This record gives sequence, structure tokens and C-alpha cells, in this order.
Amino acid sequence: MSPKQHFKPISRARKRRLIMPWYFDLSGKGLFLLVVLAASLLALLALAQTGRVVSTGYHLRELQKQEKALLWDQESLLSQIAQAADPAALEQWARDAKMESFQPQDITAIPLVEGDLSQAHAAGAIAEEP
Amino acid sequence: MSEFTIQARRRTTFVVGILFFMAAALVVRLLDLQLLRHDELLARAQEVVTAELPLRARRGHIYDRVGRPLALNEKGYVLWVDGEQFESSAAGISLVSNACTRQSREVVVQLMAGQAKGFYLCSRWVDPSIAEDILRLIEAEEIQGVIMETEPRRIYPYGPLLAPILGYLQDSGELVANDTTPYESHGGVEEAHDTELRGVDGKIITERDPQNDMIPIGNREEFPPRDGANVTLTLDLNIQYMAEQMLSDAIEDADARRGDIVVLDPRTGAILAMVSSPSFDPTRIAECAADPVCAEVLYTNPAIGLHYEPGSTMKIVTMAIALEEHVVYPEWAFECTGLANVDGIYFHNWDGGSHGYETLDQILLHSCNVGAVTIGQMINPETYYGYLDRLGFGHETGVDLAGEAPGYVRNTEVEGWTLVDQAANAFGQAINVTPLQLASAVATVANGGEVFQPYIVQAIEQNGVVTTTLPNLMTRAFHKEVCAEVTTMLVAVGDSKGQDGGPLVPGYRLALKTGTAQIPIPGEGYEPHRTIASAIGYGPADDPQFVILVRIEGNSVIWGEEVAVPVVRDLASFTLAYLHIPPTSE
Repeated sequence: MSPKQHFKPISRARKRRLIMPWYFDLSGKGLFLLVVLAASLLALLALAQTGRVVSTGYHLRELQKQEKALLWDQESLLSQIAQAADPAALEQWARDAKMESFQPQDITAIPLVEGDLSQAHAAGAIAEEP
Repeated sequence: MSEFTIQARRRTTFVVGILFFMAAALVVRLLDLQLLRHDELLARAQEVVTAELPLRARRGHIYDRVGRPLALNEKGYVLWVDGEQFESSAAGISLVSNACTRQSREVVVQLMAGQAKGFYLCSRWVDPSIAEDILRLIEAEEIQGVIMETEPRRIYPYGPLLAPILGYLQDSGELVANDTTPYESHGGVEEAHDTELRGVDGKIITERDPQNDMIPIGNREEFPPRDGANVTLTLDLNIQYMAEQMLSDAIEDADARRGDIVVLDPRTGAILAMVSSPSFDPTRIAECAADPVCAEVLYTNPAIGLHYEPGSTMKIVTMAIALEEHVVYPEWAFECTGLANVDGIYFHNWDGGSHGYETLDQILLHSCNVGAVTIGQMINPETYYGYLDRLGFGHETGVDLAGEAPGYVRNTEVEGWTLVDQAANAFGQAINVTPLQLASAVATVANGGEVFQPYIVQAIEQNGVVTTTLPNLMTRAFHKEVCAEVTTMLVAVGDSKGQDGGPLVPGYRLALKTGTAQIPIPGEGYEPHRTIASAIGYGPADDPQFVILVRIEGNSVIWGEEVAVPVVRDLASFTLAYLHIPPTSE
């Protein structure tokens, strides 16, 4: 196929004119209004996109803030754990509750033979199932 | 050509020439702006329109071996006042002026009157409840010209109990408003593992408006910080606490200056407790630095950085070397005449008397200096110092803590060394060791002859990936049989040093050796009425799970066993119960 046979711009333009006659018959005012309408539509689309970007950015920042707050909460909870595990406070609490120190002589060692726990049960070291 | 045409051509040439020069000037200017000064101008432009917000990496936590937090971060508030912009209600003035502790009264008055210029650091750190009140007023726009920054603040929940081991953090450089404050770590785990704990700071580069606020849809680049790793220690908080309590009581009872305790797991070299008393408060560094006694602990962890002459506790090492080298045998006996002459220098027993014929275990039981000197002289000097080197004396053990001292061994390679040095070293004099070095050497005897590198970090966790420290077996120093023989001798000592002359802890076979060393005064000999009392013990003898070393310095009670043995006994008793170690079967 030769290029001449393939490209027929004039005939195509003529065809388009036949398909969309209203477009080519538009007056200056009509064309202006159409352009304004199209521009507004595009602006709206851009605005919607921008809005989405902004709201996602805002959401992201909120999540980052929450993450930060949660990390501070974690630190605060760990601090509470540290206070609760303070041996000085625990010792004082035990003394107030009139507890006695555990002595090494209080340890009962029960030698276990693998697979045979009857000795341990008999000694009460392992609770029986109800 | 007519006159008109010539004139017109001239004018045209003139105008074209001018236009050409103007265009050339523009091109030159463009080249200057776009090529030659491109980077500089771009940087200046970006400086005007962009803001860089630092993101401080969260410093990693430090935990004890069962996960109890030992070092954390809390939300700290830093208060700045802009002298020119400050305006406030009466309530705000009252709050800010009371919180402004970093400035003099005169400066605060000027600031509150809006007569000062520039940014003033008012407080670091503001009490959280006051900070929240000020933040509420800022939000309600009742205060202007006040910046309340939040920064992580390091906290140590157990304060002085762990201060020499953990170390502390200190600001470095000047504090700047709207920027994170650089800091340095000093001492202990904080300094030794600073790289892992610190993490990497991040930043946000964003476009800003003239009010310095971020533009939400502007260009924004975020480089998130990489938080520091969490470090878990081999240390046990409860053993540490009990050791500290017992040490403090002993120091008070003996009217001593200070003391240390080291508890090691001889099977691995893991440090279970490391106590120094007195200690310091890691949140009050400035106050401690101003006090000479406190400053000593501030800059040194005495358990690894303050060496001493170990005295008779060193006889354990001498005895093990002698047995390993087969220069003596357990059944041998020596005559202790109360005096040993080495190269014209006389060595006496601690009690000045003679002990008659003594077997090896009796030499340890009676802590016979003359016996130790005699045995020490039977070992080849090079061999003897080779063992000391392998056991970690005279150089750092390599423990993962900052501030370790090497100690000092005057060995055969040192000019001026004589046999007298070796004789003195045999019973723990003329040699400087740190408590950790001695505890580590005795741990070698306890575990059957293996020299482990002491360590305190059990694991490092970064983003869920845990790296566990494996025990580092450096070398083998003694045979198992030799260690068992020395342990039997030390159990004989332990069995006689309990209450009423009985076993140290009834029902258990515990090894023990005491030591008393004099305190040298540089250039003036030794302190006459005060000594360094020490005792080292381990148990249970058949399967040792802990080594306890106690050093009490400057006590007014002269003999080590009166001061340090009760501490070893009580701490061993606690540790046996705490670790659920059953009594030794008969």
C-alpha cells in the first residue's frame, strides 16, 4: 500500500465534519463556553486529586502522630513495669505482709526419672488434675 | 549608494550591535546563574523555601536477663522563650517564670516583660504536669513566643543501683531551639554499646510558607530514623539488689570507705551482678562530678577499673598452677617456719607466727603466706607468668563494658623483675588486679579449667532480629582433676567459715578463700589501720553456678574474713535459694 493511498487527511476531516456537525457549527460564544466548561471540569478533577493527596497526607501524619504517642505510651508502660519490679518496693511489700525470706534449706529437691512422675505427685510437688 | 542608505545601515548596525551585546550580556548572566553558581543559588533558594525537621532515633532500651527494664526513655519537655515575641496572660507568666530555672531572676524578669532579645533556654527538663499546662495555654493562644519541645529523656528506674554498669548520657554541644540536642554516652553499657543503642537519626525535608509552617501539598522528603537496638544483659536485678544491700550494710558495719561485689556464672563467664558502693545518681551527674568521692565512681566502674592487691585470694591461682605443673601434689606437706627468705627478703605469715607442718589444703585453710611463697618458688617464673597471662591478669579481659583497666603484673619481661616479685605475687602482693579479673580467674578453677571471656550483654534485638551472645571460651588453663583438687581444698575453708565455725551455708558444699591486703599510700608505704578485705567463693562445689567476689576497701576491722565473709555467706545463701539450687546430696 502506498502512502498516498493510506493517508487521506482531507477526506477524514470531511468525515469528522459529518459525524460531529454541532461542533463545527459552534459560534464563538458557544466555543468559549465549551472551553470554560472543559477547563472547569479539569480544574475540578485536579482539585479532587489534590484533595485526596492532602487528606491522605493528613491521614498519614495523624497515623505518625498516633505511632509516636503509642511509642511514648509504651515507654510509660515499661516505666510502670520497672516500678512494679523494683526489688526494694517488693521487699518492703513482703515485709509489710509479714513474709519470710526463702532459705536454701527450704528447697525440696525431687529427683525425677523420665516418664515416671508418681514420686513427684506423691510428694505434692505436682498438683493432681481435678 | 545614497547618503540615506549609508546612514540607515550604520544605524541598523549600531542597533543590532547593541542588541547583540545585550543578548550576549544576558547569555553571560544566564551562564553565571545556571551553570557557574547553580549549586550555590539552588542551595540558597532551598534554604528559603524548605525546612529540615530532625527526627531523633529512639535510643534502645536496656533490660536485665529476664526482661526487667533497666534503662528507658520518657517524654521530656524543653522550654524555650523568644524574648521579642513573648506575650502572655498573668497565668502564663506565672507558669513560665516558675518553670524557667535555667535563667537568672533578672533574665526571667526581662523575658516576661518582653524586653529580652533572642531565644532563651528556660528549662530542661520541665515537670510534665507544668509542661501540659503551658501547652494548653499555647493551644488556647494565651501565650505567644514560647516553644515547648519534646525530646526523649533517658531514665534509669533503679538509679544508683546500676549506675556504674549502665553508664549515663550527657548533652554535648549547645542546645538549639527547634533542633534535637546531641548527646554523648559515658561509661558502662551505654558507652560500650552506643552504636547499637543510639540508632540513626532521620529528617523530614519539606517546603515551608513564610510563617515557617509546612505546606501540606508541597514537596516533602522523609528519611525515617532507625531506632536503636534493645540490649538484654546477663545481669539479674534481684541478685544485684541483694548484693548492693549486703555490701552497703557491710561497709557501714566495718566503717569502710567503699566496696564492690562481682557475681559471675563460671560456666559461661556471664556477669550476674556487679555492684559498687557508694554509687551515683545517673540523673544528677553535675552534682556528682563536683564531689571528689562521687566523681571517682562517675568516671570509673570500680569493679573493672579500680585495681588492687588481691592478697591471699591469689593463693587459689598459685595453688592451681603448682598442681597443674606437678611441682606439688595434694598429699604433700610443707614446714611453715613462719619465715621465708627469697633473695635476702623475708616474708612472714599474716599472724607473724609459724604453722608447723601443713598439707596443701591446710596452707589454704590457714592462709599461710610462707607456704604460698615456698610453692610459688617451685614454679618456673616464665611458666608462672604465662598462666597469669592466660587467666587474664595484666591485660583487659575484654568484657563488653567501657572503662576497663588492665591491672599490672610485673613479670619476667619487665626490667628489674626478681624472684622476690614472684614470691610476693604468690600470695597476692606486688600485683594489681581488678575484681573482675580475679573473679574470672577463680571462675576458671570453678568450672574445671576453662577460661571464658566475661560478658554482660546477653542479646541485642534490632527490628525483631535477636543476636545472642555465645560464651567465648578463650583457652583451657587447668585440667579438670587439678581444679577438683583445688575446689576440695577451698570447700574445707568454706566448711569452717560459716556461723559457729560450721559450713558457710548448711547443706551445701561451697568453696571459699579470704584475703586481706594493705592499702598503699604513694611514696609513704601502707595505711596503718585500714585494709582491703576480700573474699571469693563459689558453689555448689560439684557443679558451680556462681562465683562471688567481695572487696571492701578501707575498713577499720583489719581481717578480711570478719568483713567480707559474712557478705559472701549471705549472698551465696540468697543466690542458692533464688536460683533454686538443691542442697548437696550426701
